[in-house]
Amino acid sequence: MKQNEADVVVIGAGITGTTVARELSRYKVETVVVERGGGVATQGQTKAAGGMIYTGLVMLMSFILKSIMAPDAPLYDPNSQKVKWLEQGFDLAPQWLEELDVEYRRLITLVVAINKEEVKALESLVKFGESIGGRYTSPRWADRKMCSEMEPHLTKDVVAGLYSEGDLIRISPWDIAIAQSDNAKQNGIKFMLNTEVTGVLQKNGYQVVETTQGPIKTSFIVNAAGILADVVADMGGARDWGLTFIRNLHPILDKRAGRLVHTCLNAPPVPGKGPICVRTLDDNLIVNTGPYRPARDRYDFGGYPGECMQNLMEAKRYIPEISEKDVIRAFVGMRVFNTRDQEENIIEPSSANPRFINVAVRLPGIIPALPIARHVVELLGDAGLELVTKSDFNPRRTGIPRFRDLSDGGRGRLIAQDARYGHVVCRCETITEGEIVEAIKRGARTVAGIKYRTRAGMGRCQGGFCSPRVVSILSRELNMPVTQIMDSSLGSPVVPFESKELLREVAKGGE
Amino acid sequence: MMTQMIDVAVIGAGPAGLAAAIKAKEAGAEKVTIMERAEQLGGLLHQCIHNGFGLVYFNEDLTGPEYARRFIEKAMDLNIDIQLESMVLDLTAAKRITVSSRKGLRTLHAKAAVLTMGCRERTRQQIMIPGTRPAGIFTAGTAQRYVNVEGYVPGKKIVILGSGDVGMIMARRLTLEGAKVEAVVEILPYIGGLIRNEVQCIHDFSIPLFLEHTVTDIIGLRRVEAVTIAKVDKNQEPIAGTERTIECDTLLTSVGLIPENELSLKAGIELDPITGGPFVSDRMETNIPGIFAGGNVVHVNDLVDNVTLESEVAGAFAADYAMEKAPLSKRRISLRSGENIRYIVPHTIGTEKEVTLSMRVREPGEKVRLRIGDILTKSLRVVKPSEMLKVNLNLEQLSKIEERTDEIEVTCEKRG
Amino acid sequence: MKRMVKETELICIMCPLACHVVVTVDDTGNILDVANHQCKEGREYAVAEYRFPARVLTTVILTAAASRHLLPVRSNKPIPKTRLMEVMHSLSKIRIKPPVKMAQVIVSNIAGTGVDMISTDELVK
Repeated sequence: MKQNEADVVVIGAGITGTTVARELSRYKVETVVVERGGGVATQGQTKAAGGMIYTGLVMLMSFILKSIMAPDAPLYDPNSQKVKWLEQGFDLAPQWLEELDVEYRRLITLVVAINKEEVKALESLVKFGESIGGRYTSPRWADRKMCSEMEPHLTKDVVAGLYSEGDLIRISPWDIAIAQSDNAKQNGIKFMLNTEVTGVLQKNGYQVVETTQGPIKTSFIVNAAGILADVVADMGGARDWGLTFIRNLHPILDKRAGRLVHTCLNAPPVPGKGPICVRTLDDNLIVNTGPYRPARDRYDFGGYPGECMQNLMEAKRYIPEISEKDVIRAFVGMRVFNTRDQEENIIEPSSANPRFINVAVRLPGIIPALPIARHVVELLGDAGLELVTKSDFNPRRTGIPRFRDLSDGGRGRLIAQDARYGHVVCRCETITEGEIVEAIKRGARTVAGIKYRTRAGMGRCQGGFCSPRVVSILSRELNMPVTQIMDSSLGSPVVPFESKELLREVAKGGE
Repeated sequence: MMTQMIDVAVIGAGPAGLAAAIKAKEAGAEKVTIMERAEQLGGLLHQCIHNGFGLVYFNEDLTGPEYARRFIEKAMDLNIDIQLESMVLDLTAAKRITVSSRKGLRTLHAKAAVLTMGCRERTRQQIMIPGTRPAGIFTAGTAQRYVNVEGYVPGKKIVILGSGDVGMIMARRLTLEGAKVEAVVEILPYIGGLIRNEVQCIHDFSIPLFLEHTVTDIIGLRRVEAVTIAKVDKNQEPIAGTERTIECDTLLTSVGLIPENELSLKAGIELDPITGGPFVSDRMETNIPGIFAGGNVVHVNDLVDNVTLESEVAGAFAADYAMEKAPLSKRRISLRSGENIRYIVPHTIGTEKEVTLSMRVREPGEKVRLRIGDILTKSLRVVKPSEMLKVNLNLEQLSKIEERTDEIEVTCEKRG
Repeated sequence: MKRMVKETELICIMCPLACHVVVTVDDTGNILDVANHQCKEGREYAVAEYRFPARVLTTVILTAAASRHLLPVRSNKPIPKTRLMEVMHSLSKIRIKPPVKMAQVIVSNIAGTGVDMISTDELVK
């Protein structure tokens, strides 16, 4: 590919951007993905997404929750493109995840009622599901005893529950975006990180995407900029929608607390309630109680006073053994809606520029990512992009070896191949130098980039032990001074000053 | 995979591990191995370049590296097998140890083991400070590592939350390296560390000290831009209207240490929820015969000298156990924490050997009486939770314990 | 004749009581009174601290060694409190080459204080 020339520029390397990129990599199309952050899926909604690919019971609940907000709209519209994509996305998921070597686990969904009113809500849910039919008839009743068997640490206040099997898959949300970026790169896609788009110029027969790393000449543009989709859409010339944002703080509990929950645990979809908590693939517990509140702005990623404790206490009503002593971290999930129709996605060419495709996906964004990406490729084709399939497209990607998951024999063999796999750097999660070096080879440039690719720094000490070592490895592998190694993206060095530099600055100032 | 049979395995080569390994060797154990995950020996002493170490053990005022070097040289002279950058991945009750390094995976079968893994630092996240999660937030110990070992200064304008010794020492350290420490913030009405440090780290440099305050917000998306602090009431809840915002680019947290007992749990060792470390006998043996523990992994110490003394006990008895010389204990007497006592280590004692008890009070007090059952009383001028009390019980005192006593209460009451 | 007196409060660091000792001096700096202490060590501390407030300095200096960036050092005697930053500035210009033994004098009479800075660890290579 010539320097800074492409057929398609994809703006944003979150779940939407990386899925579109991978789909485009099936074709002989020169594609560049431009991401303002220092890593794939490290700056926006994707890394803080729910982490569940679902249909059936949880989807039913989301329809009910939607009806609380928009009571006049039909609960379930079988002709809705959005709903079709959500269903297709779930069906495609196992193959999608497996060919990309993304770890996943099937979980039972359990919705528990702690009073008569809530039982009534469950009854309505079952009826609603039956009225639609198909996959939505999956919910089964569980009495108190059965609920306790499924969730031994559940509160004794539970009266009844609904559960379903086979309609929920748990993943780590950033995993799939990172895996797709790896696979897209394998298949020829170029990724430009730390690159912010500043404008788009229309020329005769082509467009120029202006960025902080120089201009890119292109024919087509895909706007997958997530929380900045409106800002980027303006660069495409026209927009009749804006974005609204809601956010919530999710406490993460120590692995020792993971044993407290086995299902994807929920309260019924009544106002003020909903998801409760879920165990991650690494046995942490994520608390999903809310509510989601309107954000002050699109960057409102901070926790509000008392929010962490409040959300914990709500979860404690269902799992009494949950304790604030087990909190290791909390993160903010940002959810974005468009103002034209908050229930719908916006996936369409800009009215001012048919070769500028806006892709503003409403949550859930991971479930329908693949069908939506395929649709975006169709839209590009309709707009004139020539789509010739590559004969050598390879859909398979292998993840970074996980030392921690291997047997002793497997570990020994890995170390024999590369001694760096024997040097454990992140003590809490058992992550080796070999994995960190491999992550850098695959594109990680920052401490957060390493974190999301390897899990180093995600443990109970939150990088207290490993981050100086991670910084040092990044400096060595990237041949950059330590003072230029970034914490997360967006240009913030971990340790900006060399020893004695400040003393010399102060001395100079005095002269 | 390589397998080795050894006498005593020591996990962690900080002051506790070094002391235990040396004593084990001196007590006659032949094959003593220390496994250390970091690149150097000495544990945190390597980065504690300030003085104040060794006042008790050596009767000298040493810096951390000087203190460590005495033991490192001894360990090398004694031909102790030292394995650096080696992470113990597993420990079983049968003392089978799996350790990983660049050389590969190794299994060690040890006759006895000593746990000396030390502590980790409590994080900002664990104490649920609201606000954003930008660059520029460090625990004081990690910042200390950068400044004193790696060669980098984390920021120019610093706020430090927590007035424990590490926090205060870093206040001085960063000021000396050219940064401006804008405030030290402490939630309690008194400082968490030694008064010597309050004077020489905070007052000496005119650093504003905010007692009964805490950080209530962190501002900044990419990098810390400011923190908000507020006064707290007697329930440690922020008082509305007392907030003030302090511009800074770095927040250091010195908000507590947590004994690092993940491996202990793997082996089935029982932990005391108050100390966060294993229940130990006066031989520093855990509930698993042949597995001993010493130092900060058992309870958070103030003085490294005490870490050394305690771990020497662990090492000596580990060696005895390995050589099958350990006499069976005739009696086990539990120590119960009574009035104003937060915890006592060891948790159980016998009557056949002298023992040093280490304890902490719950609340500060003046003119108090420490009472150990009917054996001993001691008048003390002042007690503070941050200053550990140590009491020696000799054989004569221990012989005063009545035949059928299996529990002794320890209290710290106000004198009449 | 009226004498000008000044009172200075010092926190004693000798024990956890941390008495706020008050030292009263006249206009020529002669100590007239020491009050509020509870023991003789406290009095001695207050007098010494008033007369010659000095601190042992521990810090690190840059190295020109491959094995480590920094070498920890200490002053062999206390340095007057008011000159600590001056000494830090002087030390910031040094880059020490290996080999260095423990307790080796790195700089003597730093910034004309009469105090030496000595190494507190080895620098092998």
